[in-house]
This record gives sequence, C-alpha cells and structure tokens, in this order.
Amino acid sequence: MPSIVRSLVLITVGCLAGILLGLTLHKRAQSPAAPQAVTTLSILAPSSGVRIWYSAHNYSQLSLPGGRKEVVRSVLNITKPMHFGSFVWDEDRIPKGPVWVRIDLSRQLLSVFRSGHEIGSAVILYGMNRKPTPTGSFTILEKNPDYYSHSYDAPMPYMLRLTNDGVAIHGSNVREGRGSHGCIGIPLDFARLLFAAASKGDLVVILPA
Amino acid sequence: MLASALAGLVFVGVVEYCDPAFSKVAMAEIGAALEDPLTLFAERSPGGRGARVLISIKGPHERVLSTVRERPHVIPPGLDSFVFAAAPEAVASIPMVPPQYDTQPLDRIFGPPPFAFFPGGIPQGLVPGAPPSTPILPPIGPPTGPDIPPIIVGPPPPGTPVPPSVPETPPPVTIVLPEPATWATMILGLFAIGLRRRVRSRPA
Repeated sequence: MPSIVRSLVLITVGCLAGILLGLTLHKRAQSPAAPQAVTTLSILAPSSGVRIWYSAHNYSQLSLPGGRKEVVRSVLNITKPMHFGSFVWDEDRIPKGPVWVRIDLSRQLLSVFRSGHEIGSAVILYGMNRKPTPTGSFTILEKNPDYYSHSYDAPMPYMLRLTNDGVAIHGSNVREGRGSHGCIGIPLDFARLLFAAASKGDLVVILPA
Repeated sequence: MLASALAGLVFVGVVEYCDPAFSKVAMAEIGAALEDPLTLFAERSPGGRGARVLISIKGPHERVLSTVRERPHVIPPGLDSFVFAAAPEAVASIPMVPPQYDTQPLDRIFGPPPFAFFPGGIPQGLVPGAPPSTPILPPIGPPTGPDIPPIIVGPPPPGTPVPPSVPETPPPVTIVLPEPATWATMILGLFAIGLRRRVRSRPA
C-alpha cells in the first residue's frame, strides 16, 4: 500500500477512535446511574429544567446544628409553594454517594441530599405541642418497611427510626391540620423512595420550628 | 495515529461545550442559582404551621407500659368523620389518594345512601334516588350476613380533573455530530500535517 494512503488510513482511523472514545466518556459522565422513575409536579419550572446547578467554583452550603456545614451542589427547581401531600423526587443523573436528610419544622419541609445534590423534597407533618418533635442531629438507627407502633396502635410504613423513644420518619396521610406524636410524617410514595435511598447511619438534621 | 485520536477527543469536547441548547439552559440556571438554598426553600414552603387545633395521625389509644390510656379524640367540625370513626386497622387499609379527593361527599363516589346501607343488595322495589313505596325498617336481631366492610375511599370517578402530578421526564440528551464538510476539513488538515512531516523527514 502506498505510504501516503497508509498515512491517510491511519489518520482517519485514529480520528474515529478518538471521537468514539470521547462520546462514550461524555455519555458515561452524564448518566452514572440507571435512570430512575421520577414523580414530579408541574410546579417545576420547565424552562429552567428540573434542578438548579451551582457552579463548581461557587457551591452553596447549608449550616447544620453544631456548626457543621454541608456542601450543596444542586437543588430542585421548585418555584411554587408545595401542598400537603405533594412531593418531588428526581435522582436522574445524580451520582451515588452519602445521603443526608434536612428537616425544617418552621417551613414544614423535608429535603433529601445525595452527594450534595437535592434529590427529593416533601411537605411534612411533625409533632404537636404535647408531643414535640426533637431537634438536632440524628442518625438512622433502624429501617423497617412495615413497622406497626404498639405504643400508638398505628402503622408506620417505611419507618426510619431516629431515636430510641419512638421518633421516626415514616409514611403517613399528610394533610393540613394534622400532627403527630413526635414523628415526621411524609407522603407514602415519598416514604418509599426515601426508604430505598437512605441507609442506617445516614445523617438526619431537624431544625426547630 | 495517537495524535489523531487526541484530536478527535478534543473535537468532541469542543462540540459538547458549544452546544447551543446547553448554553441556553446553563445561562438560565446560573441566573436562578444566585439564590441560596434557604431562599429557594422558603419559596417552596407552605408556611409555618401556626397555632391551630391539630388532628393526630395516630390512633386514639396511647399505650404506656401495660396501661392503655384513652385520650379524647377531638374532630374539628366540617371534616369527614368516617375516617376517624373507623378502627385503626381500617384507617391503615385506606389507600393513599391526593388530598383534594379526601373531602368529596361519599355519595358522589359510591352512589346514594341505600347502596352503603344494604350490603346484601338493594331490596326489590327500591330504586336508588327514588322515594321508597313502603317504609324501610331496620333488620331485627343480630346481622346474619357478611360483615359490613369499612368504607374505603377509592380512585376518583371518571371525568374528575387529574391533580397536577404529571410525571415529568428530563429532555432526551441529543448528541451533536459534525457536518460532513467538517469531517472532511478535519481529516484533510490532519493529512496535510502528516504529509508535511513526511516531506521534512525525507532526505534531500
């Protein structure tokens, strides 16, 4: 084969190989995990996408009790007030990593973060005055998908125990005007997703009302 | 060949970065991202709970050690009382529905009352919605038929507006490939570089 033709062939093959490799790496970087089924609400702004990304040079931070700070790389782009019983969950293209939960009693919101990205948010129920929900930092002590409270004769589906005296996050019929005996109530479908994403030992932060 | 592969990699990187769709979304998101997370959380919050009469999501029985303590179960006026009058097991078996369907009157879901009060079937001569021709007397003695099942809120009737919970999927990722002319230009350029190197390396 003439040398010029051989050079041309080598150059072409090299370019094609490089382009294929680049496309493969780019695809892998965009979707590290298998796409998950998501349930979102139409309150998400379609023009800006599902989430708001912070630039790598300007990651935001959230303060936790005790002076600790957690880095936030992206949050869900929810532009309207959420309703009781509604939730948003999106973990598409979010890498695996440590999970932590932020519960804000004053705003009646729960946010789930994974690898610094918010993957879920829901309106919550929390403890009434006679049985207030404790505040501070906790870890998930136990997971039980079908727990039944013998103390209160009530089911606690997808239970994530936070304290040894019965405070937990669990699925509930979240409606305005309801309260719990200290537990954090979240919509049942959201509880199922949170139960699958969280693990024993994950951090849960509860901020006061 | 290695240089060509590297050139291809760089080319892909430039194409992805210059994707116009990515730039448009990125600019919009950068503008929105100037808000910190706390501000965004405040926007989505339904607000504080405030001081109000709250209904417990737990049952009316609170068990302390071996003592069962009964608490008065306060039901604010205007709410459906059947949910709280049912046993905890029946409450647990009620399927989850969007909040706006919990308050619909039962007769819009299950028909007029005679359907609910005659689990064994509507007596002959009694037409739902029409006044009975003969007085309807309650059955005398203990019930002999099957137990009356608890009234369970089911899915909304057809034609009911669907709540805003339409799943949204992210837009599909489009891969931008260069035009054939771009391909040809790139290959010819690399060919020219290789040819020039060959010419220089040949002894005069």
